[in-house]
Amino acid sequence: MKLKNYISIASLAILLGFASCKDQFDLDLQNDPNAVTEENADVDLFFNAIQLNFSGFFNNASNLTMSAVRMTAMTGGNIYENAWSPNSFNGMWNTTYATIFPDINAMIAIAQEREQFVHVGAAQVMQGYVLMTLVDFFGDIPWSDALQGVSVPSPSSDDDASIYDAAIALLDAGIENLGRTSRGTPGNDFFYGGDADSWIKAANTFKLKAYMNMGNTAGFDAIISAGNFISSAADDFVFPYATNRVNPNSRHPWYNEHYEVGNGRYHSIQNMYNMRFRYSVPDPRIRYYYYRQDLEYGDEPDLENQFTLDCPASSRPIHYEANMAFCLPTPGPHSDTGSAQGYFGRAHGDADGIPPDGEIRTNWGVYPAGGRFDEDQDEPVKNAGTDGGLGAGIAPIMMSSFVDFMRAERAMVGGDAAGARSHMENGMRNSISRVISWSEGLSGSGAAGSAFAPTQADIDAYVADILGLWDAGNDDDKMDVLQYQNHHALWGNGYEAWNAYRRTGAPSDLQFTRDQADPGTFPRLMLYPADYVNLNATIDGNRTISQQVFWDTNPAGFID
Amino acid sequence: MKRVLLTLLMSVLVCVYIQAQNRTVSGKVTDETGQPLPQVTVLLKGTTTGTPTDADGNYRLSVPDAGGTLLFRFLGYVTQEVEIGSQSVVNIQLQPEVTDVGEVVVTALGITREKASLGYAVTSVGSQDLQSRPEADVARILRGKVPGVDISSTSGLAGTGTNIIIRGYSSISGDNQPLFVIDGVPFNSDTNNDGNFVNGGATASSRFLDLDPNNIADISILKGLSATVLYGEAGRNGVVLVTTKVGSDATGNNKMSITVNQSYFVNEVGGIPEDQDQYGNGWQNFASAAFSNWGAPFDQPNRNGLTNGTISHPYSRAALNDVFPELIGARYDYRAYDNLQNFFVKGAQLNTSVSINSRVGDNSSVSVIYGFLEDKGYIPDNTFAKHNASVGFRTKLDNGLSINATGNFITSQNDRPAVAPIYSSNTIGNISSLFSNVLYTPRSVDLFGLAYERPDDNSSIFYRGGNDIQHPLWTLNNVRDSEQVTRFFGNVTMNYQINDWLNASYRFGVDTYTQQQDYTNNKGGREQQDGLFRTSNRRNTITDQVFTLSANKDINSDLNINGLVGVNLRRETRNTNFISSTQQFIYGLFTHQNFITNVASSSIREENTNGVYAQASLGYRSAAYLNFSVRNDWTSTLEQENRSVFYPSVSMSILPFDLAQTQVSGIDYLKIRLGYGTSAGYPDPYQTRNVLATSVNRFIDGNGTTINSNSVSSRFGNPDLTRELHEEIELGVEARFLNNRVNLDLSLFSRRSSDLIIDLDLDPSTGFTNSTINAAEIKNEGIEAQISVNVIEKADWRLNSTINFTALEGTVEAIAPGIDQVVISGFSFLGNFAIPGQPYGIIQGSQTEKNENGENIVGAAGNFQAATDIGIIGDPNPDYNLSWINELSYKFINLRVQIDYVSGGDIWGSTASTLTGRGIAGETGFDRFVPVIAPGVQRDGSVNTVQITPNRHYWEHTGVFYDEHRMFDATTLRLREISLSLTAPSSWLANTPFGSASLTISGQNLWYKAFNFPESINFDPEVLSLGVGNGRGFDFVTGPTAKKYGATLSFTF
Repeated sequence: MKLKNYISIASLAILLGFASCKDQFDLDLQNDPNAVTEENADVDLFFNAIQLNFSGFFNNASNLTMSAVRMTAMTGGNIYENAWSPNSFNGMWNTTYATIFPDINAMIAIAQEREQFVHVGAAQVMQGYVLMTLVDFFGDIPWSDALQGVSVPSPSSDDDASIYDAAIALLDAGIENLGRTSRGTPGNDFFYGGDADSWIKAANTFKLKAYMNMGNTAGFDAIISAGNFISSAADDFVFPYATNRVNPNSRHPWYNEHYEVGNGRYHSIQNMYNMRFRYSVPDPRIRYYYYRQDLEYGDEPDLENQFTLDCPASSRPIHYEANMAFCLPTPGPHSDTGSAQGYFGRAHGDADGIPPDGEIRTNWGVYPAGGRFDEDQDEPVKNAGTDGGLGAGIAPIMMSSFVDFMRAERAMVGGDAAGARSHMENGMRNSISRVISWSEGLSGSGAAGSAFAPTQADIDAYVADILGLWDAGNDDDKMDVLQYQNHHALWGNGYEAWNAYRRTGAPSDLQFTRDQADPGTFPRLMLYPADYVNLNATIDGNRTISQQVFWDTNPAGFID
Repeated sequence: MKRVLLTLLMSVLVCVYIQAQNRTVSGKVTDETGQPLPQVTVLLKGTTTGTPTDADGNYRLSVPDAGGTLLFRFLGYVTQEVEIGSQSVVNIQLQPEVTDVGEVVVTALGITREKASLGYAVTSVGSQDLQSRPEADVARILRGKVPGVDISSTSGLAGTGTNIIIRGYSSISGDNQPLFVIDGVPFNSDTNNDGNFVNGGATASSRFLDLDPNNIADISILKGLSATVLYGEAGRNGVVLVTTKVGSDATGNNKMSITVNQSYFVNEVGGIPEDQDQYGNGWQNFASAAFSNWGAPFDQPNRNGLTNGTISHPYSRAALNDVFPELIGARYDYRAYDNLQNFFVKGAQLNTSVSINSRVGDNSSVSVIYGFLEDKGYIPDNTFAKHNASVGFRTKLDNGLSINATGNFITSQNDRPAVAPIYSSNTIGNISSLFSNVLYTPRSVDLFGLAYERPDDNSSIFYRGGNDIQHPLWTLNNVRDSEQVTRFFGNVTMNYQINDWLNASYRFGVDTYTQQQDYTNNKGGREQQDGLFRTSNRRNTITDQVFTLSANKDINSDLNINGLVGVNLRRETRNTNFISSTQQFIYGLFTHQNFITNVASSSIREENTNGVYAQASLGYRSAAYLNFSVRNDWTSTLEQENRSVFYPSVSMSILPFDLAQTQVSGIDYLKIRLGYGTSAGYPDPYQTRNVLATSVNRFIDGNGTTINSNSVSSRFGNPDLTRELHEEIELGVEARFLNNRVNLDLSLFSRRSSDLIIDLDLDPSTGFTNSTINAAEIKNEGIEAQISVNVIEKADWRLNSTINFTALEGTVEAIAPGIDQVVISGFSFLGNFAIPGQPYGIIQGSQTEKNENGENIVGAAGNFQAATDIGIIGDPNPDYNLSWINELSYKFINLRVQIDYVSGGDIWGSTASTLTGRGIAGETGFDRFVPVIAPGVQRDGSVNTVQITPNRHYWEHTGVFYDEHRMFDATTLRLREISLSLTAPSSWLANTPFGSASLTISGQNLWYKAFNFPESINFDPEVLSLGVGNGRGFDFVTGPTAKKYGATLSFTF
């Protein structure tokens, strides 16, 4: 009886449990069944990730600096200290260190072995650019200690000059690899279609920029005389966005931000004023850069709308100088100009709350966001991504016109005003024709064949006007003229404009912050990212933005 | 007596010969006051023949022709023996127990033990404290009833999640929620979110919501590690042991009995803010369509943008002129509208429960409980509906094997509005939230008078031209979060008494559920303007097997040994499928094929834990006990060399007076206990190896080519990862004084948790953004006390007053070398952190710049300046919790009042700061034309004298800009529970079919006062906007708490 019971318990136990759960004893369950293992990595798939993250990195860098140089309105704070928070920079930091660099290192390890030197070289060129950009933003950053996982959980920073050298060395290594005989080219190269020679030109141009920043005129001149740099539109280093709206969203980030329903960002009143009113002839690029959603808004001032459109109800700041625009869109007693025709943005440092003006604010145009050409349509473009070039814009990372302006600046630094004048004219014409021809080629943008497109005569008149100003001014005035034109050419690339401003202090009469004559300290370096400060034990508290990058040898308080 | 009790306890399991029975004895059992005592076990001594008393205290039992002794046993009362002799009616009055000897409690693995023998704290909560409550969630009913247990809800919406923390947070990244064990089987109590808290996951329901409070016979809470060691690592956060009615041994009756409960409760919002009535929508005292309410004064109808007290109608705007031609040029009254006052509704909770018990033949019994609950929240269309059906069956085979089986089937449906966090404006993530804009709707905007959708395409419209606020009523009608759960859990237990001291048992338990979650968002809103349909389907299965050999033997008259050895095999699998669809085609229809873009993903996960355990307990003269427990586990979540974990525990209990066989006047009972226990914690599966991050369909270039990519994963897989370790020492005293009128149960504990698994956010410059490592150390120390006083003890009158007190301190002792802080929950710039030397979960956030004296630096424009770094701005942990429970009974009337008090603990409060910063709160109805000066100093040290507008000061300096201004002390006094129950005396029911009848009127959370919040906000800080988990002290406007009141009618026949 008892034995029988033991047997029945045991057999029931086996039946119900042990036998029916043979999986129960398997403890080798450490491989994640939901992911692929690292051995499956593919070089081309790495290269895709690197390029996409690289373009994202550039956009971050540009967005974060445009408001400093009044390309867009600074609305995050009424003084510089409040305008950026350490969180703003997490994206750049994260993308670089945790994505782009590890992917590049992992890809190079495989590609090197397989002698895929174009992959290797192009990746090194991108890495050099990214590293240099980080130094320009943050100065001293981790490099020799970086990228070692939990074995160095808090990498300490290196001297910024040494990292710049490392970046230049990466560009040199890239050039060398791109010159070697390679087994094939990347399956998908957004920039140059796998053309190693173009990548070499880009690398040399990045070096050119580095030397410009460092004041290394000999290095600069050597690259120019070798002649192997981005010198025509065909060589331009730009990332091409496309039109797919969702899954995946492949459009220009500014198109995403400004052609759906969101309010988007405010444009700078100053920059719109510069293009439209500063000179006796409007900049021929203005209708490509800006799209006005509402031409008449404010024609009938209505104090009920004072918050919607605060400038008509507010006084012009008394500390504003004569050529600092304050309020453009409304004719009337508060407007600086009689007929601003709907250029509606914000003044520098206007951090007020957000009125319901999303369909009134001046929008990004066709260049470079892939939006709509301004033909006085007078209608909003918050239409769920159905307007203009559908977002097939470009990220203007390095273009031949930028090089012209660097050469002009170099000539000015060397005392060669005539040479500078000629490079500046090249740069202006180069940029204007690039903007127009690219926009006309963009399907749906409305630029091709438009009656509002500038004629050659308009362009010539504009160039002549600027050159007239150049000729009339002293060297400081000339540098201002040059850098304003540089800003116009750099449209969409705030980062190079910020570098140029820190190098030259020009333009010297950028709009002041709205609220006060004392705007705080202009960011000579950006705050360290919150993730770096909060997660890295070697750094104790954030920096002040008055600190300077090693190549910025200008005095404190030299720009604001 | 102990032997007798053990025999009784095991009697159901023990094989005995059934004697011939041919007469019956009946009678009535009453308590010391003469009230009938139901559920008293009446047993024929030496047999398993027995029956519980019915609701009237009556019983009837077959007994042998001659002789025999009846045993009457009831928890908390002295067991009595009565020789039957020739009596056919045996009525008896039981007396309350005066010593603890004999009181039994359920401990780990469902083993019932004498409470006196335990070297650790166990708190039991009986069914009378759980049922007929206006709350569907068992955990929420337990609030304040158990010292050392902290329970908070994520929101007052029906069907939202509940956070339970026993004895503090001891893990940084791991789970700190206790293990639920139902009838001996681990029960998945996860809170499954499809999104993180930013994406609306904070209010997801917790799966213990599937339990039916009406089917719970008893809950035992094992708090310390010496109590839970037999559960291995799963028990490290404490164990909530639930015995269901169908699973308990106390059912089975000669005659069939049916019990019916019917409840109806009103469900209301706990509190709504009081707003000021002087100013309307606008900015700087001008009427305008701002987000804020700093507009024109209502009493000056022709000033600051007003014309005859009107403004242009918000829908008289170009974009809507074709839609509302009748409103072109229309004017709109600029006055205060009642919005908040009308936004919340009165919901209702209906709860029906029917239970049937019956004996089948001589050796079997069956019980069935069916419950239906429908809880409608304080927001329209917020409902939680649940069907619970449970069945229990017990039998004893002729060969002595007893088999006990239970099965529980649950289906539930929960519909909630979309909820997501906000700072002070639209939601943080690009996702709808019902509460995001509604609380600060400007006073002059008529929420209910302005159409919420365009009649032509159903898209959201609201008062602002840019349509950048989604109309809250549009959100209510177009965005829904819902969950459907189908669950089965149950077990089969077999017991065999091998001889008089050795018993073998085997239990197979299963808990499996499918949870379907649907997030439906029509197109046309501001958030997710193309529409979103997100579905997930989770299948979670736990199988648990326990094989135990247990022994209980008296070595000699003084010494008893009681022990067991066993094997536990536990396996948990989870399969999840997600589909996320965007770009809705036809408005209103939610099928994935009605969406243009679908993205699917899936994940599978399996985890095995195999353990062996042993326990031995030595008892000396029922006055001193020594208990040893050990367990060894092998887990599948770690690499081979780290898989095996051994944890021991030892505890002792001494009754000094019994040991010395002396008595001390004034002290009726004294027990001292001391315990040491250890436990471990395992990481989630798949943390030890690196994977490749792949991404398909990442970009489509200008040629239409789809670009895919692979990347190095930014999570660093750590092969050296090992278990975390918890060690705890517990000291306790249990005593009774003054003729047992004062009852004290005190525990002190100290827990050290080391090698804690941290989900470590890394500085990305390491090449990775996070990893899982063993590093931190946390110490938790606490006091738990329960003092119960029988204030009045008279024939008809009884008043018992109990105070539960908990004070806890959790300190982070260390974290990984090279790391100075770890984000526990929230964001890296605002959240709960672990910082060495600081309390667990300290809150860091943004601050203003201060000088060395701590004064605010004020800039030239008169406003505060931002500090570049975050800093410590609050400690979310309360100083202590106190709960005061009073029970007054007079004859058949019973009044119960529970008052809870939380002292201290900070909360980051967005509701209060937003309403203040946006000029809604009652306190902002001052004269806004008088400028103010922000308190602080200029950079040169001089006192700030710059005048700024109140608008600017309040907007920038009361929390919207700086987190430090959002911190409030959360000290709260609360009327947690009040109930009045009337039980019909049996004489009233004599000629009715009813065996018993009672009516209970009760309310929950009827009143509270958070002393340090602005008066007008009426804010209840008992919310957790970060959701169930380790975050605490954040209110992101995710839904106020609820109050409920109503009645329950209960009868048996």
